[in-house]
Amino acid sequence: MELTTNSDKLIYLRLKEWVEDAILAGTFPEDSQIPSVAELSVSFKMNHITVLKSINLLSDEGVLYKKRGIGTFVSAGAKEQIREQRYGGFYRKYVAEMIREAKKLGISKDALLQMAEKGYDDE
Amino acid sequence: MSKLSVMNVAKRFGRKKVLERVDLELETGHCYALLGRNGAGKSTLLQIILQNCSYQSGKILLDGRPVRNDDRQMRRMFCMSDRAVYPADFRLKTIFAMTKAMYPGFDLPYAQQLAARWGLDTNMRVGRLSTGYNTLYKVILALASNAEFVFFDEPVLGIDVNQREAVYRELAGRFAQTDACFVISTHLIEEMQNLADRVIILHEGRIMMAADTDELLDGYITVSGPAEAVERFAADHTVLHTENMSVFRTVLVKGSSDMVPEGLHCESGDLQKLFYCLTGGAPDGAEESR
Repeated sequence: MELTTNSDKLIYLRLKEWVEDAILAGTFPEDSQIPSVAELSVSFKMNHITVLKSINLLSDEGVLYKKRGIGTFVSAGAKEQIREQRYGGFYRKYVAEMIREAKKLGISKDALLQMAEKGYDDE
Repeated sequence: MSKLSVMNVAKRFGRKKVLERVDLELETGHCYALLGRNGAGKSTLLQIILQNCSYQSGKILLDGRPVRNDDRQMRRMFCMSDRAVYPADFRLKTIFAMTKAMYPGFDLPYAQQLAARWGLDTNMRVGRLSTGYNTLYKVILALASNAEFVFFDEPVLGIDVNQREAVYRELAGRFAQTDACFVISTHLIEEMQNLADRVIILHEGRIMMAADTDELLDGYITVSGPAEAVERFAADHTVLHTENMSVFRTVLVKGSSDMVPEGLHCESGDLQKLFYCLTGGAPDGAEESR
């Protein structure tokens, strides 16, 4: 498996995002167990220390919790929490970027709003 | 935790200096990528650590004690290299048995299982193996060695992309299990980026850089855009490398992305690019570095 490399973020942040995406998509439902550090290391051909760093970060944030000797689980309310955390980043990462690109291409504000309107209905 | 120290090692081949005062510390529990251009001295350094090669000065210590002429210290290290170590008519299973005799910690069942999984017939004679399989059997020896310090010299040499994937997965899995120190010398930097938590760059016989991978990736950015704007930006920063393409310019600088002004393109997190810039760009002189 490969982590998306289009973002220029550090490896442990990419894995963290991958876990969050899987929780948002429902692949890892709340209160379910996520793959072990060893499994994640092998699948992503990744250093287990790096994997541990991502998992610990998510545990510190409360998205995941650990059961001693059993494994790591998705917290209740994790989905909602990730949504809230990502909300702020959405503007910076997507909206601002979109506007920059639009200006580069000479797309007017009205045209952009129209596209957003159309896209929202179509997608 | 165990520590291997390379202290002040220098090596000459005749008049040619290969290594100049190399100092390096390696710790168990970490996976190192040893990077360097052709002829940088990577293999020589590994051979010196393993005492397979003479050197003019310096010493190698394991937990503070010299490894030279000390069998017990030497058995704590294992190196796979591209050099032919065994006569061509030896069978793989003989080599496995010999390795077991030399290294009591060698995990023979694991080695056999891995050979089967990777399609290596242990009845084969080593001289008849293809380039890829010749690399694979050495990787198996190293992975199964159970040594505290395991050195991989080009562990994917001549191996196709499918099998490379399998090797990297096995490296990651075994490293997670053993808590050993893995040192992987390679040219395929991109494929190693997720595996190595530390990076060592050997350049022109010296350690140019030894750092935490994340810190390294976080500490440098490449900035590109119109030459004039890039020039203005670069004036206030430490520039490690410059590339020009007509009115377009790319610079590698120390710093983080939040200091880059609007209108310039900024990239970080690419070890290969960083390595390329730090070690002087393309050798054909098309790039200028400063």
